[in-house]
Amino acid sequence: MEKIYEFLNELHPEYDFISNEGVIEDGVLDSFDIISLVTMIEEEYDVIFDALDIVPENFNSVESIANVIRKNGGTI
Amino acid sequence: MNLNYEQVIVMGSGSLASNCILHLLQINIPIPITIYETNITNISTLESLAASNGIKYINVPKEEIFLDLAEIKKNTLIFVIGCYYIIPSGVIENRCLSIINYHNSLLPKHPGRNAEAWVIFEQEKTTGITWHYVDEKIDAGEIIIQREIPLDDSFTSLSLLKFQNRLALDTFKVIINDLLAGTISSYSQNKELRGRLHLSNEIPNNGLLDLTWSIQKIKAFLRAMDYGALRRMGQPKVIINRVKYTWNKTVFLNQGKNRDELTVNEDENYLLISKDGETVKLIGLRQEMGESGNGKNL
Repeated sequence: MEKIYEFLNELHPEYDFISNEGVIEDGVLDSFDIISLVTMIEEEYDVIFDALDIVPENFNSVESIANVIRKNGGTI
Repeated sequence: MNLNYEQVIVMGSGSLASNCILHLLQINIPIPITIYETNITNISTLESLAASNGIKYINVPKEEIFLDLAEIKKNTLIFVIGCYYIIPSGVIENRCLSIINYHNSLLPKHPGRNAEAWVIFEQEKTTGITWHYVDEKIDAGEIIIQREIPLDDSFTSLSLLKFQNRLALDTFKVIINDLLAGTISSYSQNKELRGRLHLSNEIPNNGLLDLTWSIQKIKAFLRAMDYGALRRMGQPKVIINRVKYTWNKTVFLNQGKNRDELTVNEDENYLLISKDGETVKLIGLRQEMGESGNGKNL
């Protein structure tokens, strides 16, 4: 999980991802952030995301991001 | 705020469109905003942005969008951002409309699609962003504002797109008040400097790594093809002994042999390309699916 927080902080250092959930609903992450995040995750966890999994609801919280990494074969 | 327009339309998609709309909301423009979303992807966020801010959101086929725009009778400022449609003359000729397009190059260089990849592949020293008026030719209208970006060999297509999006938003914030007031000036593009129009189906060297290139050209090609998870141009490929291969990961090493050397490691499925004292390592090399049908490793 630490790595996910690290990636999110790299994208938006001004936002407190630990205290807040709903990063899509809150408009913190936009579509380009999601692509950047998936790129970082794929590199780190040596996985390739299924295109159907790259949807906003899978990136709304750290927990949902961890779940989609696991779904695509990554180990958290 | 003294406004020259009765409404604003944003046509397009993507994070820059979304961030420009957020800025319009932040400065409280007293006229309605309408979004026409085009090129919708799984990760589009414009619809939810519209819903949470009470903005009219329209998602219809492009023919219907253009019919709507051609019939507008109010003074309207239209921003075309992240939109791949070619706007027809019936819309451009509507005198009630001022149509402004965002393009991610220093026009007149690199008009058309995927400019970020072409500037990297062609090893340009600079690129930039342009906000310009739309006329009957693609990316050829009068320039409102440009910003230059010096390029170095750290940029990939994805990182350059991201950098350009940020710069484009900053520039949008600079020009928006004058645009809304109708007091902004513009100037013609130098037609003699106009670059070749890049079409959507064009990919640098058709996506094929040429092993006879210099190491710098090889690296430029690989960075140009790198859209991360956006995968806009698909996977690059290389032909070795008449077999086409693709790979999972590319690593640039700042050391290597001065003479050309190609090392294929069949046990660990990687390819090392050494030239000019540098090395490129292609990891996870595998035969391309579809060529032989099996997609097997080396």
